[in-house]
Parts: sequence; structure tokens; C-alpha cells
Amino acid sequence: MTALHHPSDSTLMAFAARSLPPALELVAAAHLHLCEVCRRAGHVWNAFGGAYLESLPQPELSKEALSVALERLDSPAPVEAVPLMATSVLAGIDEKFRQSRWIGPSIRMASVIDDRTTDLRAYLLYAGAGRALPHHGHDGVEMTLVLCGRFSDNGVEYGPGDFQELDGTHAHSPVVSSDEACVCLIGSQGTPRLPGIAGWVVRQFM
Amino acid sequence: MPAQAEPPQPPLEVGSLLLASIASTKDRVAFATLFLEFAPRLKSYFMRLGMNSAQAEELVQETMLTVWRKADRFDPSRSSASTWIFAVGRNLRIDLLRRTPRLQAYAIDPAAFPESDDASASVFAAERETCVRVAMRELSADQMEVVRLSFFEEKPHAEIARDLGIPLGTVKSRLRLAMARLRASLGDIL
Repeated sequence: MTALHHPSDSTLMAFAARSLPPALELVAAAHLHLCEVCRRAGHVWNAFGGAYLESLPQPELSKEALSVALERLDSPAPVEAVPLMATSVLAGIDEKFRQSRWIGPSIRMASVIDDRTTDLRAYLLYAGAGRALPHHGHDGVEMTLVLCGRFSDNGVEYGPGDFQELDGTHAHSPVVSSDEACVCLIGSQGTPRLPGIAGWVVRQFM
Repeated sequence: MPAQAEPPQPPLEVGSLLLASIASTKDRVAFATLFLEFAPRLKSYFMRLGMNSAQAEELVQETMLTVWRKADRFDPSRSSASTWIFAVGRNLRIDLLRRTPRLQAYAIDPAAFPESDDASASVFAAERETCVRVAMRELSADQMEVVRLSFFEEKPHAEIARDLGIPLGTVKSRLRLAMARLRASLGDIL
């Protein structure tokens, strides 16, 4: 799978600095998992972290800081929690489909992250061949990773592995363009703005 | 001769050698050397992200202890010591922030992604780290400042505009120009 559409440099740099909010980080991580090109670029953006650290001033630490550090070296290491990776989200797509909810003809969604306090959401969206998603805009950022099938949006085609990134100023109306269903992992920050009844229906589920 | 004196910095390889020595012989002197070099810088980083001095030092201690314990996972073919140590601190801070069961379930460690099987990876890593430092030095002081604040210190654009006393549009255009410049200098390795 060779992706044609990648995250922006800014998104990759924010990903490397870990300043993306969790729902967006998940989608970016899943793309990196699928995309060799961005993994390689990721190492370049990562190196900015080291250069940044070297550029910082060296304030005084408390006098005993080093001796405290040395004393703790022999303390037993805690058992490490195994982080759930983007890969497990990717591997769990079929399982998630069984938990998905109907939100319109041939459209289902399954929530992965739903944090209403920060308006952050990540979800899998399943849309049948030919389905158009309601025309919508966003107050915040939306990142979409195509997992299978294809969709087209404003004349641009997105296929497996492709990454679409929209900021708050865009409105879009993607249409599934493959013969098979299209499955996407979508992360968003902010409330989707949708006009009309379709908007009302979708808002009830997001 | 450069017109402006750069702050003294250890050669990139020194940190890697110290980490290797910790990994192979539990070398406490190597650890103390790394601690004196990096602990104060990590403290700066955490304080810039909003922690007070005591909280920052606590997280510095955690970071350096993790560096000690995981030194064998440091791979000089992937990054410099400072890049790796930064990543350890950055990840610990995120773990701390997301210590709610819901979000922790989605903890992601970017460092855990598979590396490309490039035979020349080791040479490439050193070159990469050098290129990035050169590219950063090519940014103007204004551009560097917005990059630092926006990406590493997590300041929203509106807050940067307020703090620097410049219009929001200027923040956005500076960032755009900075990223375009980085892309131009790093295009060959991106």
C-alpha cells in the first residue's frame, strides 16, 4: 500500500513533539504505521526534539538532585504497562464493526475515543459504495485515514493509506467512489457543523 | 568566525557513548555526566509546559531514571542521545497528563514504530541529526520562536500572538514560512 496523500509537515512535526491531541494522534499514528515514507520523515521531525532540548537554558537544580537520582538507580523497576497501539485499532476493525451504530443508509460508525469535555473524537466510519456523506464543515481539525475502499472529495481521490487533513475553514462532502465499502479512521477536534436535517441526525450520533 | 557565540554543546556522539556505557556496564559516572548535561535542560522544557519548579524536577528525576533503566533500548543508528532523552521525557509527561483510563488506553509510543530496514541507517541517523540542526539554525529568530512555542511548548496560536504582541495572522504566516524553509532545507532527507 503506497499512500499518495500524507499528513502535512506541521502535523508530522506536532506528532513527533507529541503535541497532537489523542484522537488526532491516533489517526496520525495509524497512518505512520501504514506509510514507510512518513515513518522515514518521522525520524527527521523527531530529531528536532533533540535539537530543541540542546537549545534550552540550564537552570539550577536543587542541590541534592544528582544524589537523589543516584540513590534511586537501584530501586526496582515497576512493571511496564503495555500501551495499546494504533495497530490494535487497525487489527480490531472487524470486531468494531460488530459494535457499530447505524447513522444513515449504508453508513455506520463505531466510536474509538469520545471525549466530550475536550470535544475530541476518533471513530471508524463505514460507508457503502456510492454513499455520499452529508456536506459538513468543522469548527476544529479533522484527520481522516482511509483503511479500505476509496472516496473522492472536491475532485481528489483518497485510497487505502491516504490521509486527509482539514482545518476549521473547510467544508466538504466526500463520496465513496469504490465498488466496495469504504472504511476510514477519523479523528476530529471541535464540533462538526452540518446544515439541515442530515446534520441534525448525524450530530445526535457524534 | 561566527559573529555570534553559540552556547557550548557536546559533540553529538558523546551522549551516545555515555548511554552505551550505561547499558553495558551500569556506569554511574556516565549517568552522572548525562544527568548534569540533560537534567537542567529537561527542567526548562517541563517548566515551559506549565509545571512549577518542584513538579518539573520530579519529572526530570523520573525521566533520568527511565533513561538509566532503558539505556539498552537506545539505538544510535536511529537517533542522537538528546533526541532519545527528549522523547523519554516527552512521553512520560504525556503519560502523566493522560492518566485517565479512557485516554491511557490509547497511549501511543511513536518510538515503537518499525524502523525502515535501511542498511545505511546508522550513517543516515548522524547525517539526519546534523541536517536538522543546520536547518534550525537557518530559521530567523522570529521563526524559531513561533516553532518552539507552537510545537514544543504547546501554545495555541492566539496565545502566542498575545504573548508576543503580534497579530494572529503574523503568527500563522511566520509558522508557514518557517515550515516552508525547513522543507526547503530538509527536502532531500524528508
